Formats: sequence, structure tokens, C-alpha cells
Amino acid sequence: MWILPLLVIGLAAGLAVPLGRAMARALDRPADNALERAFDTGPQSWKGYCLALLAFNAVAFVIGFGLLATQHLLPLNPDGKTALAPTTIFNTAASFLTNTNLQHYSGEVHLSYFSQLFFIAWKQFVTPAIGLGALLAVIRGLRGDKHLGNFTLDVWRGVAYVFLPLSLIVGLLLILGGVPMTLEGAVEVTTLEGAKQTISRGPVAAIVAIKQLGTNGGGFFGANSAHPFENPSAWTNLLECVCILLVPMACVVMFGRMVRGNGQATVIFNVMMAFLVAFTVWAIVTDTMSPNPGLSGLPLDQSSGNLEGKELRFGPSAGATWAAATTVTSNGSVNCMHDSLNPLAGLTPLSGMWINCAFGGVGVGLINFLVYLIVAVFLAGLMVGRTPEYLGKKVEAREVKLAMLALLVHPLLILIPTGIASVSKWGTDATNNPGPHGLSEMLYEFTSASANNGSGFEGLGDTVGTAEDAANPEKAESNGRAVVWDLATGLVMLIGRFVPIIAPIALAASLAAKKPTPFTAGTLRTDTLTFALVLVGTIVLVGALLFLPVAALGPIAEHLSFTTN
Amino acid sequence: MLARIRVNALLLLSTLAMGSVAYPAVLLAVARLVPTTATGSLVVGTDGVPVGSRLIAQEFKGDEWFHPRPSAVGYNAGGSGGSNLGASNPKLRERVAEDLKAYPSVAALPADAVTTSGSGLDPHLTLRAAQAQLDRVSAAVAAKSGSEVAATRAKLDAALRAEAFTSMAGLVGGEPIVNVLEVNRAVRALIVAK
Amino acid sequence: MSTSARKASRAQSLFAPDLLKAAAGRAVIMLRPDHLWKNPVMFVVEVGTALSILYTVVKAVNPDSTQATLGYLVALDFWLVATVLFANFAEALAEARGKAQADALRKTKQATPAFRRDSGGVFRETVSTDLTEGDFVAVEAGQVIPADGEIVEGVAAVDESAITGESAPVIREAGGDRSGVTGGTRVLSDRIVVRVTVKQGESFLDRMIALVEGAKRQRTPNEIALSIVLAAFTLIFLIVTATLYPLALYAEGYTGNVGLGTDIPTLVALLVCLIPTTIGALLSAIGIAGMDRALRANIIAKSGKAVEVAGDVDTLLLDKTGTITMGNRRATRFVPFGESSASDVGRLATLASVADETPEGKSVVELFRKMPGVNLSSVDATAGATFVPFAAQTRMSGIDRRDGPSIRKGATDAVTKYAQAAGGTLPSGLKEQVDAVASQGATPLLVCEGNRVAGMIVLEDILKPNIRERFERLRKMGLRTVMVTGDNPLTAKSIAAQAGVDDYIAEATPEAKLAYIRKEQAAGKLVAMMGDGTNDAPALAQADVGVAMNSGTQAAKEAGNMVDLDSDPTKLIEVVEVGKQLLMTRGALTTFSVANDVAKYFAIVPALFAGTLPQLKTLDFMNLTSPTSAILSAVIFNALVIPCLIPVALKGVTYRPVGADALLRRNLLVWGLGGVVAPFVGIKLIDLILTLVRAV
Repeated sequence: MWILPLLVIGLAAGLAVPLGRAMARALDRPADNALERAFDTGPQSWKGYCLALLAFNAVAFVIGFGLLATQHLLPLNPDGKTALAPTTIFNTAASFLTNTNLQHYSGEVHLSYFSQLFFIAWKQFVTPAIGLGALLAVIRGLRGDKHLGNFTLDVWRGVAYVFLPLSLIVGLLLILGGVPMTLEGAVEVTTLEGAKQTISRGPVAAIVAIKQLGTNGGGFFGANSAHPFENPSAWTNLLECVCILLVPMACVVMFGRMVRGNGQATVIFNVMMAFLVAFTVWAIVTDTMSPNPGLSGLPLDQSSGNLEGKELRFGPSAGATWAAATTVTSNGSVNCMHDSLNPLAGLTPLSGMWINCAFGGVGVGLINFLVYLIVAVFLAGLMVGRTPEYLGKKVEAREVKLAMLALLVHPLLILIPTGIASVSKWGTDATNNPGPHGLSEMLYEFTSASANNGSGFEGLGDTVGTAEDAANPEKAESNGRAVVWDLATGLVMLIGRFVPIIAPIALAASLAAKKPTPFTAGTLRTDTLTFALVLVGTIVLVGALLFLPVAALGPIAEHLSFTTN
Repeated sequence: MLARIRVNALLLLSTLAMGSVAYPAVLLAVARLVPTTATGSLVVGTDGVPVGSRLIAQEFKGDEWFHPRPSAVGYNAGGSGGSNLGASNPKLRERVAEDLKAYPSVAALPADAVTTSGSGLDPHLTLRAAQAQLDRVSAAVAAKSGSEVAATRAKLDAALRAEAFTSMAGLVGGEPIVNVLEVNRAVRALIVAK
Repeated sequence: MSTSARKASRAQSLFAPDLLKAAAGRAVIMLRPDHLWKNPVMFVVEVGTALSILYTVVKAVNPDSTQATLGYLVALDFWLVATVLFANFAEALAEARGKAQADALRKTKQATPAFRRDSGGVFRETVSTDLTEGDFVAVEAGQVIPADGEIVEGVAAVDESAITGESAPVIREAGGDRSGVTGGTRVLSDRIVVRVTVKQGESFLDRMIALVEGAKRQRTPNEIALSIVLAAFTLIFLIVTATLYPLALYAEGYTGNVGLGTDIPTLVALLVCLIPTTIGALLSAIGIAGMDRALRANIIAKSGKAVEVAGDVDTLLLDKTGTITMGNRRATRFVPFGESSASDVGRLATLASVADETPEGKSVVELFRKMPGVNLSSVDATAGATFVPFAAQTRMSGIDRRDGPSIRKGATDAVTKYAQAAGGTLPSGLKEQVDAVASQGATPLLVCEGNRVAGMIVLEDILKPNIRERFERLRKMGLRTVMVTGDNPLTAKSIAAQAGVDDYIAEATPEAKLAYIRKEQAAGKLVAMMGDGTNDAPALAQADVGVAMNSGTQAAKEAGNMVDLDSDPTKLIEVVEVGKQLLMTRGALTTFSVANDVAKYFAIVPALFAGTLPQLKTLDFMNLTSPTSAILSAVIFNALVIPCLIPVALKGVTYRPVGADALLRRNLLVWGLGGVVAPFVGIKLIDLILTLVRAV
């Protein structure tokens, strides 16, 4: 049971080291061939970098919106998928622009192959590269570069040198592992019993590889990697789970290389690892090693743990392991249904997304971590009697202001909408479960949107679907609710993506402009075990503890309702 | 400004060309090496018509078939998904209690037999859960094929054991599981063979 | 005043009753929202308290408005108000301490008679308040110097005890580096003419009073940064608490049980407990106390920022003389050449030094007198002799006797030239011996009688006791020490090695100091230095922390950002420690404040939902008596912790020079872990007491 998580984490960490080094080599150097020079518009200040980032995202949003809105007119549509509802398009366009991949639709039901390849796959390549670019800009600032690099060059390199080669390898392995890769439409079969069954398929391997590697998470099928076509065996499950962690882990290694401070990177890596391990163990203990409390007393053998929402072929601890990995990183793919996790186990994905920085999304996870780190440096720095400094740069009012801005956004975007939803009909009526679990569903949805994660307590009725569905008077009531969810989570995702990217870039640039201070015996060391503990404390106290009241009202209240009745 | 627009356009087109055209094209080419799994691991019946996918659960209602795990999407492989019922939801307990009625004599049924999978299309069942159906299936198969119940049962049990495997050779834990479509093909062979 | 005396006065006046009374009164006045507005944390507490009181009034009028009892609400309001009052009290107390100091200073600032020179050159009586920059005043023995200025004429002994607390008079004289006088001090002897160097109301005393009263206190950069963090935390917890209302409403909706989760005063209580009230309440007190601590060390900082920057200093420029060594070089040995004995050399040296009034010359006489078995009368036979005083040109002093050859003592090259010119020969091995002494950092002087070089006087710097340990301590603090000396590089190097400083500037000129500071600053280092002379002014201005000695010139005092009233060169070290303490106290109390939240969550959250979701009682690890008692206990703990920590805020967290890592570990343990554990204990204790009180 413990071998699988050990394999997943061990393999990912082992592969991340060479990958991170290679990334530092490939991404952190001047343009040195004609192709790269074509993308290089010259060194950019933080404003220039952010403007380029925002401009490209704006264009990508419009193009994505256009592609989805016209899918019924476009080719590669063997199953004749029809036009989508307007708010579904908005939500999906926002979701895939922000690397969230929250899916208020079902891939095999609503999207054509063209949309899967030209919208989904394209966004899944580009958005992690944008996150990676943002991280590169932040690191360059931290180490004191005059300019933060060039946005278009960074994104091009990210796609061409990191995600394309990795996806080709993983895609190939997935195909060999039994994942379909075809442009043929759905097939109809006649079962042995004589019934008809329609089986959707498509270019699945292409989507799965990049969705796992780029902390995207948006699957080809509604059930994501729980679907046997996305994840046919325990072997593909292992591969996909490793891919969730690989690039986010490599980002930390790359950071260490770029700032020439492997000690700094080691502390960060280990603190992130501590959270990942803690969340994984928690999920396995509360879900794999505990029966579903709702079924206690029935003549059942629950020795394999809670099996509701789980697949059998991956092994018993696979769901819990994946749930932890996919939420500490902002991947959001699933191989079991989180909504049906045991109540306490549901805390693992929620906490992972609340802190949103234990490896986190490609690029942005480490950026989030660095924001916590600045806060930790500030508190610890004062405690040693010096103006706090990180990597030889003083952390002063402006940096603190930007760090707090980046930090504030996340709890605000989770708690305020959840509070509103919990007293609104569009909120409570959309839940699939009563009582505390219903609250958990709403909480999870906004947490996932704000963390740009994309997983869900999928029972929530948040899907309108096709334009036809939208116009169906019988569904008017549920559509009315789903429209609000589409718009609310769409906005949360957009704010939750760009504010925590731009504020840290500005912060890093502000540090870059400062004179470096020399290292002395009085300087706070940020590569020690003591500082690692400060980091853990800061993340727990500042990032996670403020969610204790909602956790108490949701998952904990649900769990305790079994033990105290 | 014009140069900026040009570079942005270049980035857009080149990433589309890589991620949406070249990348899937390469994988589609590779997929031709493994045509069966790449098109959905379809299982072809004796008449050459596909009877299902090895990877996708199908509904089996008749007493002579092994029944797969319950599906939250009614085994409709045009969609997928779980029940999304939380532990505290009374509907979950009611549904499980209802499904348990099919196993009146079992004291501790492996839970997979009455829990829905994440996809609703889990093609597997634990060996023990399949064996818990042996009484019903062997009686029905014996009736159809006109053979003795005990012998049929022994044959079916052997077929189940032959089909059973543990994930990653047991490396990741878990008990032996069987592919329901495969065991039902064995059932069908038994019925047809008379 | 000695350090220990100062410490005694500090301890004694920390909670002097009159100060407490004044602060208590002011704490109530400071409840005004326009005052509290400047402190976002406490402002939120005040608004919340007002809201809570409003709900209490509603409850009193309409008992059905909430299920919370009136007694509980009143108790809650009481402790919320107390929280704000305690915070105000902390700030008021710090201010009162400054004010007491200011009042003492102000007493010296009463209008005194002054004698101003008019255009005709006659000194006419006027009052000190009429004086302005550029006036010349005469001050005679017994008179109070009417304004800050510079002596242009005369020498006087001045009693500066009004400012420094040091009763021994100091000498102030025209020209040179001891020409500065301060208004309010008293001339004890002689008559001086002083040029007034400050405008009315801008005198040193005025600025000091303004600073210690906090009237012109500007928030320092780190304080501003911390305020931002605190404001952001407050905003986050405001959202956490505000969103609990709808979430509790949702829970009440499906359970049908109404609890405290929708009771506004209780939510206010949760908010007040979660936001960092402890540090919010003590933040300004810490800042004022930092200035105050500097002042108690007899250092006047021109701004709080200067004190804070002192904590960041990387490089200390220390004058050798007075800081590292005891005053001046002293004669430590007489080395005879040829057939002379050491006492011969001593006798000759003493005779040659009779007219030498320099400290070195005096030390020669002293050394000879202490030599065992010397015949003191042998140096009295100077009748009819002519003394040759030390002159910069000859670099020798001596005596021309009638009954014997002339004696000279002085720099080695000067004396050898003198002896050779008189036809003498140099003893063998002289050069080697001289070089050997010089290379040890000592200064060799030669003594010759007629044309015979009789011996050598060894002048050595005497290191101050424990100076090595002191520098070791500085190194652990992360500070680099640089010795500044006029000595030649060889001597400087040797003394630097003996004292254990990291670097030295030999043959230091003001330009060399300035260049060194600039070099350090270019490498990103912050430099502190101390100086007194006018020619130190550029370096003082360039240094990040420039401490001017009060005895120094006005120019030096203007250029620096601190003035040391004791004119004690070792004071730099204290300045750095005060700065570090200031930052540490802020960091420690912030960590404590944030760490407190863990226990408060576990006290309040179960209580909040006890009525709605009774199963959450499991989270109540402390097993508190009742929901209302739990919430009250948390609020009371939160309020009481403020006055309990006032002494820490005012005294500062103890700084230990053990290196940043060890310091962090220690403070984390005390304030971080302590911050997690203390409220668990405190809240449980208060809950027990409340239960007991209610039972009685």
C-alpha cells in the first residue's frame, strides 16, 4: 500500500533533478539561434514582461473563446458535437487560459476532436509555459538581473524544449500502455447480452500526456484519469502520477541552479516535500486504511478502504496518493472521485489547494512559495535583529506590500464566494449532498478555482453544456444555477491566476533594483533546518490555519457526525 | 508595436503548430503500431463484430452473467463519472443496502461489488466479489447449458481464477481482480459449448 | 552615570506610579477614533467593540434578539474595551516615559540671561530666547550657556550634567574639536565667547525634547513594512470572520439549531482574538521605547530610523585611541644600549621629559618613578638647566644642562641625526632593536646624552581590558570592526592583531576614512562611525550611522545622525545593540501574536458551533466549561496578554551575540513555540477561574 506513494514520489523527485538542471540550461541563456532570435523582442522590465504576458493571454482568451464558440462549424467532429452554451464557453475559456482546467463540461459529451486538440491541447502546452516564464522572470529578479528576460522567448522555449519533448515521450508510453489515440469517432458495440453500448474514444493519449505534465488536469473524458481509456492500468497510473509532480519539482531544482544556491533550493524542496508527504499519508490513513463511515454496519468487507468513486485496477492507495499529488500541485486531474472520499480524506485535497505552494502549478507554485518565503523571511529576519533580507536583498515595505497582495487574494477568493454561495439558492441547490458535505462541495469548487487547480467535488451541478441544453426550458432552473457558477468561478480563476503572478514579478523586480547586502554572521540564513521550520510554520499559520473554521464546518463536522452519533 | 504583434502572432501560430498539429500527428503515427489498443481495445466476437472494449464496463443483467460494479452513468460509455455521493449522504447507504439484496447469503461482501467506480466504467471486479456471484451464475448457466450445477460452478470458478490478476503483480497492494467482460466471454463459451 | 546606575534608574522608572497614572488617563483619551485610525489593528478592534456594544443595547431592549445572555454580552464588551485600553495604555506609557525625560530636559531650557555682542562690539544683557543664529554671547563662570554654539574665544570648564548626567566638568575651548557647547549647561570657570549656531527653537535641546516626546516621531521603514503585514493579516481575518456568518447560517439551516455562530458580538470576539492585537497594541510603544533606550544610554538619535539602521550595521569604524586602547601610548620599558643600565636610561629619559607635557612624556616620568630602587633625587638636579620642549619640527624634547651634556629624547631618526651631528657613533644593533620594537606595534623613542645614544624608551598602546572579547562578540553579531588610527601601518597592523579587529586604516586622514566608508558602502555594507572633529563631518555624514560626540564640534554634530552625550567612543556597540533589540522585539511579538491564533481557533471555533453542530466539541482539546466561557476566556487572555507584554515591549527582547541562526532558534522557541503553547495554558486557566467565580 505504501509502495505506490513511495514509487510515485521517489521517481518524480529522482527524475526532477536532471530535468531541472536541463531546464536551467535550456531556458536561462540568451537567444542563440535564428529561431530563438525571432521570438526575442529584447530584454524586458517587469512592466514590459507583465504587459507582454497579459497581452498574449488576452489574445489567447479571445482565440480560445472563438474556437469553442464555433466548434460545430469546424472539422474533426466525427460525433457531430454541437454548439456550446455561452457561459460554458466563458468558463472553459477562462479555465484553460488560467491553467486551471476546471471542467464545467464533459469532454466526451461536449467537445469535438478539433476543440480537444486546438483548444484544450494548445492551452495545455501554452499556459504552463507562461507560468514557467513568470517563474523565470521572478528568479531573474531575485538574483538581481537588470532585466527579467523576454516573455515570448521564454514561452516558446517552455513549449518547444520542455513540454513538447516530455509530452512526446509520455504520450508514446501511454499509447504503449493502452491509451487510445485515434481520430475515429465513437464506436457502437453489441454486448454479449445483446444490448447496445456507445463507446467514446479519440486522440486521448495526446491530451493525457500534456494534461499531466503541465499541471493542467483537464481530461479528455468527464471522469478524467479515472476513465479506463485515460488510465488503463496500474502502470499508466504510476506514470501519470509521476508526471503530475515532475515539472513542478524540476522548477525548484531549476531555481537552485539559476540563483546558484542549491542550499536554498534544497530547503524549499524539502519543505514542499514535507507537505506532500504529510497530505499523502493523511489521505491514505483516512481513506485507504479507513472504511467509508457511511456504510458501516452493512454486511460489507471494506478492507481495501473506501471504494466509492475508486477504480480497482490502480491498487488501493492510488486514489489517495493521486488526490494529494494533484492538489498540492495545481494539476487537478483525478483518478477517483474526490466528492466520495471519506470526509477527513477530503481535507487532503482541500489543504493542498489552500496552501497551493507545495510544488504547486508549473512555475506559479514556486512563485506562491516564494511569497510565503518573503513573509517568513520578514518575520524571522526581524527576530534576528536585522532588516530582513533574502538572497542578499533587503525586504522592505514595497516588497511586503506586494507579497501580502499576492497572499491576500487566495483566501479572499475562496471564502467570500463560498460564504455567498452558502446562503444563496444558486449555491445550496446545486449541491449533490446535504449538510456539511454540501458546504464542502461549494468550498471545494471555489478553492479549486482560486488555486487554479481544476479538480472538483464533482457532484456540484455547475454544468450547462450545449447551447441546446441552455435553451431547454425543462432545465431552466438548474441552468440558472450553473450560469452563476460558470461566471463566478470564471472570474475567480482569472483573478486567482494573474494577481498572484504579477505581484511577485513586481516584487522580484523591486528586489533586483536593490544593492546586494553582504552575508555576515548576523544575516539570517535561509538554507538551514531552522529556516525550513519557519517556512512550515508560516505556511501553516498564515496559509492554512485561516481555513480551520470552514474545515470545521465542512469535512470535520461531517466526519464527527459519524463518531458522535 | 507592429513587431510586437508579429512576434505574438508567431508565438500563437508556432505553438498551435507544435501542440495541436505536429504533436498529435506524431502520436497518431505511433499509434498505428498498436492498432488494437489505440482504437479502444475493442473485443471482437465470434462473428467479427465488436462486443465491447476490454477496458470499458458493460451492463450485464441476466443471472447467467457476472455483474460488474454498479455504474453511476448506467454503463453509458458516451459519458463517464461517479456517484459523487458523500459518506454522510443517506442516498449512498440506501443504494448500497438496495444492491446488497442481490447477495442475501454473503456475510461480508467485498465492497467493490456495491460501490460505484470513479468513471462508472470500471471493467474490473475483485475475484472475491465475482466468486460471491458464483451460486447465481452457475445455477443459471447450468440451467441454460443443461449441465450439472456443481460441475459448472467448478468450471466457472476455474475460469475466474484463470482470469484473476493483481495490479502490477501485487507491487502496489490490493487483491486479485478479474475483467468482467473476459469472464463473461468464458461464461458464453460455456453456454455455447453446452 | 555608570551603566549599572543607568540600568537601575531604568528598572526603577519602568513602572513609576506617576507615569502609570498619567498613562492610564491618556489611554482613555486615546480611544478617539481619529487617533486609533492610524493603527489599523486597534481601529478594527474599536469598531468591532462599538458593534458589540450596539448589539448588547439591542439585547437589553429586546431580549429575543439573540440567544446569547445579556451578562455574557456585557462581559464581552467589557473585555473588548479593555483590549483597546490596554493597547492605548502601552503607547501612553511609552510616551509618558519619554515625556518625563523631556520635562527634565525642559527645565534646563528656561529663559536665562544672556550677554549678546551688539554691532558696536559691546556685550549687552538680553534673554536666551531672543538669541538667534550668528549672535555672539559672552558667558562667565557661574552663568548658564544660553544657546547651542561654538566657542570662539577662551577656555572654560563646563558642567554638562544637566544633559549628560555626568557630574565631572569637561573642558571646552576655542578652536579644535572641543569647541561645541550646549545651551543649558553651566560654565564653572573662566569666560568664553560663544557664537550661537542654531536658530531659536531648533536647538539641540529643542530637538531632543521633540523627539523623546514622540511629537515628531515618524514611523521607521521596518515599522511601516510590519504595519502592512499586520493590516493584511487583519483584512484576512476580517474576511475569515465575516464569512463565518453565512456559513453558520447555512449550518443552522440544515440542523435547525441556532448557535453563537450567527451572534455578531461573538464573531467580533473571534475577530479580535485572531487579528494580531498583541503586536498591534505594542508596536508604537516598541518604537518609542527604542528611542527611549537609546536616550537612556545617553545617545540622542535624530530619528527613530537612525536607531533602526544601527541594527543593520555591517561595519564599525572605531577610533583606536579611547576605544580600543586606553587613551594614549605609554612608556612601558627602558632599553639600555652599551654599558648603560635601564635605570640610567630612565633617569635620562625623565630629565628629557620634564618639559614634555604630552601624555607620552608624562608616562615616561611615571614609569621611571615606579621603577624599583630609583633615586628620585637624581632627576631633581635641573637647576639652571634650559628645557627644550617638544616641537613638531625637531620631534624631540630635552634639556640643556650646565653641569653635563644635553639630553634629548625623541623619534628614532631625529635622535640618531642629532647624535651623529654631534659626532657620536651609534651603538651596534640599534637599528635591529628599534625595528624589532616597531614591528610589535610599539613606538621606540631614543634617548641620547650628548652624542651617545644611551637607550630606548618603548611606548606601547595599552589595550582596554576585555577588548578582544568585545570584538569577538561583535563578530558573532555579524559586524566587521575597523580600527582607525593615525599610526603607521606597521604599528596599526600589530595593534589590530592584538585587539582582534578585522581591519584597520593606518595613517588615517579624514579623506581616508571617507574613502573607506564609500568603499564599504559600494559593497552594500552599512557603516557606523563615531567622530568628533570638524574634519570628521564628511565621514559622519557619509556613514549610515554617524555618532557625533557631544564634546565635538557643531559641524560634527550636524553631520551625524546621533549624538553621544557621554562622548564615549565604545558607545557604538551599544547603539548597534539597541537597534537590533528594536527589530527583534517587533519580530518576536509579531510571531507570538500570530502563533497565539492556534489555541484561539481551538477555543472559539467549537464554542461558536456548539449549539449548531455539537459534534465539533471534539475539537475542544482544552475541554472548556461552556461555549460562552470558552469565548470569554479567549478574549480575556487576548486582552491580558497586552499589559503582560508591556515590559517586554519597553525593555526589548534581550539580544545575545550568538549568531543569527542560534538567535533565530532561541526566539522561535521562546516566542514561536511559546506563542503556540501559552494561550492553551492561559485560556484553560482563565476558564477554570471563570467557572470558579461563577460557582461562588
